[in-house]
Amino acid sequence: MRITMAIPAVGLGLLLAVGPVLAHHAFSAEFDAKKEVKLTGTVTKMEWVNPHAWIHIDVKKPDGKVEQWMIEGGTPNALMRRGLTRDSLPPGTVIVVDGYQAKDGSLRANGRDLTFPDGRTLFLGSSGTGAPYDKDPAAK
Amino acid sequence: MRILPFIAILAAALLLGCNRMQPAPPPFKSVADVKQMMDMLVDPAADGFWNESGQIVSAAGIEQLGPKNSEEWTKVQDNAMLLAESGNLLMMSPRAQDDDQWMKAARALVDEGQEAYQATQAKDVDRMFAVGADLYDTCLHCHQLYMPAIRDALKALNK
Repeated sequence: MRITMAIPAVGLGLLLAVGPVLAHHAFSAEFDAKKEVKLTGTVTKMEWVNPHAWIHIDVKKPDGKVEQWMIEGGTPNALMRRGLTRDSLPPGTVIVVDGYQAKDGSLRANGRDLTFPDGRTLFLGSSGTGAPYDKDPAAK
Repeated sequence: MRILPFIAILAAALLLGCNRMQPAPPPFKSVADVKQMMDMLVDPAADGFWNESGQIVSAAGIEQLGPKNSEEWTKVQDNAMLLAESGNLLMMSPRAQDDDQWMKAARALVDEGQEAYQATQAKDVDRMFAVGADLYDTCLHCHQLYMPAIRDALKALNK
Protein backbone atom coordinates (compact mmCIF):
# COMPACT_ATOMS: atom_id res chain seq x y z
CA MET A 1 0.00 0.00 0.00
CA ARG A 2 2.81 2.32 0.87
CA ILE A 3 4.52 1.51 -2.42
CA THR A 4 1.34 2.12 -4.40
CA MET A 5 1.03 5.57 -2.93
CA ALA A 6 4.69 6.34 -3.37
CA ILE A 7 4.73 5.73 -7.14
CA PRO A 8 2.37 8.60 -8.07
CA ALA A 9 4.22 10.84 -5.63
CA VAL A 10 7.53 10.08 -7.30
CA GLY A 11 5.95 10.58 -10.73
CA LEU A 12 4.70 13.99 -9.70
CA GLY A 13 8.11 14.83 -8.32
CA LEU A 14 9.70 13.93 -11.64
CA LEU A 15 7.26 16.10 -13.56
CA LEU A 16 7.95 19.02 -11.29
CA ALA A 17 11.67 18.46 -11.54
CA VAL A 18 11.71 18.29 -15.32
CA GLY A 19 9.10 20.99 -15.95
CA PRO A 20 11.01 24.26 -16.20
CA VAL A 21 14.45 22.71 -16.54
CA LEU A 22 17.12 25.16 -17.65
CA ALA A 23 16.11 27.56 -20.30
CA HIS A 24 19.34 29.26 -21.13
CA HIS A 25 20.65 26.52 -23.39
CA ALA A 26 17.62 26.82 -25.62
CA PHE A 27 17.60 29.22 -28.56
CA SER A 28 14.28 30.67 -27.44
CA ALA A 29 15.59 31.63 -24.02
CA GLU A 30 18.17 34.01 -25.38
CA PHE A 31 17.29 34.89 -28.97
CA ASP A 32 14.17 36.10 -30.73
CA ALA A 33 13.16 34.16 -33.83
CA LYS A 34 11.15 37.20 -34.98
CA LYS A 35 14.07 39.61 -34.74
CA GLU A 36 15.96 38.66 -37.88
CA VAL A 37 19.05 40.74 -38.55
CA LYS A 38 21.39 41.10 -41.50
CA LEU A 39 24.68 42.63 -40.44
CA THR A 40 27.60 43.72 -42.57
CA GLY A 41 30.62 44.30 -40.42
CA THR A 42 34.37 44.08 -39.94
CA VAL A 43 35.73 41.27 -37.80
CA THR A 44 37.55 42.53 -34.71
CA LYS A 45 37.83 39.35 -32.69
CA MET A 46 37.13 35.63 -32.85
CA GLU A 47 36.56 33.74 -29.60
CA TRP A 48 37.33 30.14 -30.48
CA VAL A 49 35.86 28.62 -27.34
CA ASN A 50 33.43 25.95 -26.21
CA PRO A 51 30.53 25.60 -26.23
CA HIS A 52 30.06 28.34 -28.86
CA ALA A 53 32.46 30.34 -30.97
CA TRP A 54 31.79 34.10 -30.90
CA ILE A 55 32.61 36.48 -33.72
CA HIS A 56 32.90 40.15 -32.83
CA ILE A 57 32.20 42.62 -35.62
CA ASP A 58 32.03 46.38 -35.99
CA VAL A 59 28.92 47.38 -37.88
CA LYS A 60 28.83 50.87 -39.39
CA LYS A 61 25.37 52.39 -39.31
CA PRO A 62 24.05 54.78 -42.01
CA ASP A 63 24.58 57.69 -39.63
CA GLY A 64 28.25 56.81 -39.29
CA LYS A 65 28.04 55.38 -35.80
CA VAL A 66 29.72 52.04 -35.23
CA GLU A 67 28.01 49.28 -33.31
CA GLN A 68 29.97 46.42 -31.79
CA TRP A 69 28.07 43.17 -32.30
CA MET A 70 28.77 39.70 -30.94
CA ILE A 71 27.66 36.80 -33.10
CA GLU A 72 27.18 33.37 -31.56
CA GLY A 73 28.16 30.45 -33.75
CA GLY A 74 28.16 26.69 -33.35
CA THR A 75 30.80 24.74 -31.48
CA PRO A 76 34.33 25.10 -32.82
CA ASN A 77 34.23 21.41 -33.79
CA ALA A 78 31.01 21.82 -35.75
CA LEU A 79 32.32 24.93 -37.49
CA MET A 80 35.55 23.16 -38.44
CA ARG A 81 33.55 20.34 -40.01
CA ARG A 82 31.80 22.98 -42.13
CA GLY A 83 35.08 24.54 -43.19
CA LEU A 84 35.47 27.44 -40.76
CA THR A 85 38.61 27.44 -38.65
CA ARG A 86 39.95 29.71 -35.95
CA ASP A 87 41.96 31.54 -38.59
CA SER A 88 39.31 31.82 -41.30
CA LEU A 89 38.24 35.30 -40.26
CA PRO A 90 41.29 37.39 -39.39
CA PRO A 91 40.62 40.82 -37.91
CA GLY A 92 39.71 43.26 -40.66
CA THR A 93 37.72 40.75 -42.73
CA VAL A 94 34.39 42.15 -43.88
CA ILE A 95 31.57 39.65 -43.54
CA VAL A 96 27.81 39.51 -43.73
CA VAL A 97 25.89 37.66 -41.04
CA ASP A 98 22.23 36.70 -41.13
CA GLY A 99 20.83 35.76 -37.76
CA TYR A 100 18.54 36.54 -34.87
CA GLN A 101 19.03 39.27 -32.29
CA ALA A 102 19.03 38.71 -28.53
CA LYS A 103 15.68 39.02 -26.82
CA ASP A 104 16.99 41.68 -24.46
CA GLY A 105 17.80 43.98 -27.37
CA SER A 106 21.54 43.89 -26.75
CA LEU A 107 23.93 43.80 -29.70
CA ARG A 108 24.24 40.04 -29.70
CA ALA A 109 22.86 37.69 -32.30
CA ASN A 110 22.62 34.01 -33.00
CA GLY A 111 24.33 33.60 -36.35
CA ARG A 112 22.63 31.56 -39.05
CA ASP A 113 24.46 32.27 -42.29
CA LEU A 114 27.91 33.70 -42.80
CA THR A 115 28.90 35.24 -46.12
CA PHE A 116 32.61 35.64 -46.86
CA PRO A 117 34.04 38.56 -48.88
CA ASP A 118 34.25 36.29 -51.96
CA GLY A 119 30.55 35.47 -51.75
CA ARG A 120 30.87 31.99 -50.26
CA THR A 121 28.29 31.22 -47.60
CA LEU A 122 28.43 28.88 -44.67
CA PHE A 123 25.94 27.74 -42.05
CA LEU A 124 27.09 29.29 -38.80
CA GLY A 125 24.49 28.19 -36.28
CA SER A 126 24.10 25.65 -33.49
CA SER A 127 22.00 22.73 -34.60
CA GLY A 128 19.44 21.17 -32.31
CA THR A 129 18.76 24.00 -29.90
CA GLY A 130 15.29 24.83 -31.23
CA ALA A 131 16.40 27.65 -33.54
CA PRO A 132 14.20 28.43 -36.57
CA TYR A 133 16.77 26.86 -38.88
CA ASP A 134 16.33 23.51 -37.10
CA LYS A 135 13.11 23.21 -39.09
CA ASP A 136 14.93 22.00 -42.15
CA PRO A 137 18.28 20.45 -41.24
CA ALA A 138 18.78 19.34 -44.86
CA ALA A 139 18.88 22.95 -45.96
CA LYS A 140 22.07 23.53 -44.00
CA MET B 1 -2.42 -31.71 -6.14
CA ARG B 2 -1.64 -31.80 -2.44
CA ILE B 3 1.90 -30.84 -3.17
CA LEU B 4 0.93 -27.46 -4.68
CA PRO B 5 0.23 -25.65 -1.41
CA PHE B 6 3.53 -26.94 -0.10
CA ILE B 7 5.40 -25.57 -3.14
CA ALA B 8 3.65 -22.23 -2.79
CA ILE B 9 4.61 -21.97 0.88
CA LEU B 10 8.19 -22.97 0.09
CA ALA B 11 8.43 -20.38 -2.70
CA ALA B 12 7.03 -17.67 -0.46
CA ALA B 13 9.51 -18.59 2.27
CA LEU B 14 12.39 -18.49 -0.22
CA LEU B 15 11.34 -15.10 -1.55
CA LEU B 16 11.03 -13.74 1.96
CA GLY B 17 14.43 -15.16 2.77
CA CYS B 18 15.98 -13.58 -0.31
CA ASN B 19 14.49 -10.23 0.57
CA ARG B 20 15.94 -10.45 4.02
CA MET B 21 19.35 -11.29 2.61
CA GLN B 22 19.45 -8.18 0.40
CA PRO B 23 21.28 -5.25 1.91
CA ALA B 24 19.22 -2.25 2.86
CA PRO B 25 19.29 0.52 0.25
CA PRO B 26 21.81 3.24 0.98
CA PRO B 27 20.26 5.97 3.10
CA PHE B 28 20.83 8.70 0.55
CA LYS B 29 18.44 11.59 0.39
CA SER B 30 18.47 13.68 -2.76
CA VAL B 31 17.97 17.34 -1.96
CA ALA B 32 18.29 19.13 -5.30
CA ASP B 33 15.95 18.44 -8.20
CA VAL B 34 17.31 18.29 -11.75
CA LYS B 35 16.88 22.00 -12.41
CA GLN B 36 18.61 22.93 -9.16
CA MET B 37 21.42 20.52 -9.93
CA MET B 38 21.90 22.08 -13.36
CA ASP B 39 21.63 25.68 -12.16
CA MET B 40 23.72 25.31 -9.03
CA LEU B 41 26.24 22.60 -9.85
CA VAL B 42 26.52 21.42 -13.44
CA ASP B 43 26.21 24.72 -15.34
CA PRO B 44 28.68 26.71 -13.25
CA ALA B 45 31.12 23.79 -13.35
CA ALA B 46 30.77 23.40 -17.12
CA ASP B 47 31.21 27.13 -17.71
CA GLY B 48 34.19 27.18 -15.38
CA PHE B 49 35.72 24.29 -17.32
CA TRP B 50 34.94 25.62 -20.82
CA ASN B 51 36.28 29.07 -20.01
CA GLU B 52 39.76 27.70 -19.36
CA SER B 53 40.61 26.51 -22.87
CA GLY B 54 40.39 27.81 -26.41
CA GLN B 55 41.88 30.82 -28.16
CA ILE B 56 40.99 34.40 -28.87
CA VAL B 57 42.12 35.89 -32.17
CA SER B 58 42.30 39.68 -32.39
CA ALA B 59 44.50 42.43 -33.77
CA ALA B 60 46.75 41.83 -30.75
CA GLY B 61 47.43 38.26 -31.90
CA ILE B 62 46.33 34.85 -30.68
CA GLU B 63 45.68 34.52 -26.97
CA GLN B 64 45.71 31.00 -25.55
CA LEU B 65 43.17 30.61 -22.77
CA GLY B 66 43.97 28.53 -19.74
CA PRO B 67 44.62 28.64 -16.02
CA LYS B 68 47.41 31.06 -15.16
CA ASN B 69 48.45 29.86 -11.72
CA SER B 70 48.05 26.96 -9.30
CA GLU B 71 44.92 28.46 -7.80
CA GLU B 72 43.23 28.59 -11.20
CA TRP B 73 44.37 25.03 -11.98
CA THR B 74 42.86 23.83 -8.72
CA LYS B 75 39.62 25.56 -9.57
CA VAL B 76 39.34 24.00 -13.02
CA GLN B 77 40.21 20.57 -11.59
CA ASP B 78 37.43 21.01 -9.05
CA ASN B 79 34.99 21.89 -11.80
CA ALA B 80 35.99 18.84 -13.85
CA MET B 81 35.56 16.54 -10.86
CA LEU B 82 32.21 18.11 -10.09
CA LEU B 83 31.05 17.38 -13.64
CA ALA B 84 32.15 13.75 -13.36
CA GLU B 85 30.40 13.10 -10.07
CA SER B 86 27.31 15.04 -11.19
CA GLY B 87 26.76 12.26 -13.70
CA ASN B 88 26.40 9.83 -10.80
CA LEU B 89 24.06 12.16 -8.93
CA LEU B 90 21.85 12.40 -12.03
CA MET B 91 21.48 8.61 -12.03
CA MET B 92 19.90 8.66 -8.58
CA SER B 93 16.21 8.48 -7.92
CA PRO B 94 14.14 10.60 -8.20
CA ARG B 95 16.26 12.50 -10.71
CA ALA B 96 16.70 9.68 -13.20
CA GLN B 97 13.99 9.83 -15.85
CA ASP B 98 14.42 6.34 -17.28
CA ASP B 99 16.84 3.44 -17.47
CA ASP B 100 17.80 4.01 -21.08
CA GLN B 101 18.87 7.30 -22.67
CA TRP B 102 18.97 9.18 -19.38
CA MET B 103 21.42 6.69 -17.92
CA LYS B 104 23.54 6.68 -21.07
CA ALA B 105 23.80 10.47 -20.99
CA ALA B 106 24.57 10.50 -17.27
CA ARG B 107 27.23 7.84 -17.76
CA ALA B 108 28.73 9.85 -20.63
CA LEU B 109 28.92 12.82 -18.28
CA VAL B 110 30.82 10.69 -15.77
CA ASP B 111 33.26 9.44 -18.41
CA GLU B 112 33.82 12.84 -20.01
CA GLY B 113 34.06 14.50 -16.61
CA GLN B 114 36.75 11.97 -15.71
CA GLU B 115 38.61 12.70 -18.96
CA ALA B 116 38.24 16.40 -18.22
CA TYR B 117 39.69 15.89 -14.75
CA GLN B 118 42.62 13.90 -16.13
CA ALA B 119 43.25 16.61 -18.73
CA THR B 120 43.38 19.23 -15.99
CA GLN B 121 45.74 17.07 -13.97
CA ALA B 122 48.00 16.81 -17.01
CA LYS B 123 47.62 20.59 -17.45
CA ASP B 124 46.85 19.95 -21.11
CA VAL B 125 44.64 22.75 -22.43
CA ASP B 126 44.32 21.16 -25.88
CA ARG B 127 42.96 18.00 -24.29
CA MET B 128 40.63 20.12 -22.16
CA PHE B 129 39.38 21.86 -25.31
CA ALA B 130 38.74 18.51 -27.03
CA VAL B 131 36.81 16.98 -24.15
CA GLY B 132 34.96 20.27 -23.69
CA ALA B 133 33.43 19.75 -27.13
CA ASP B 134 32.38 16.20 -26.20
CA LEU B 135 30.82 17.47 -22.98
CA TYR B 136 28.71 19.97 -24.89
CA ASP B 137 27.52 17.30 -27.32
CA THR B 138 26.46 15.13 -24.38
CA CYS B 139 24.67 18.04 -22.69
CA LEU B 140 22.87 19.00 -25.90
CA HIS B 141 21.80 15.45 -26.72
CA CYS B 142 20.34 15.01 -23.25
CA HIS B 143 18.61 18.40 -23.40
CA GLN B 144 17.06 17.50 -26.75
CA LEU B 145 15.45 14.49 -25.09
CA TYR B 146 14.53 15.80 -21.67
CA MET B 147 14.56 19.59 -21.56
CA PRO B 148 11.14 20.89 -22.58
CA ALA B 149 12.40 24.22 -23.95
CA ILE B 150 14.48 22.41 -26.56
CA ARG B 151 12.58 19.14 -26.97
CA ASP B 152 9.23 20.85 -27.54
CA ALA B 153 10.69 23.52 -29.82
CA LEU B 154 12.26 20.86 -32.02
CA LYS B 155 9.01 18.89 -32.11
CA ALA B 156 7.04 21.99 -33.06
CA LEU B 157 9.51 22.95 -35.80
CA ASN B 158 9.48 19.50 -37.33
CA LYS B 159 5.73 18.87 -37.28
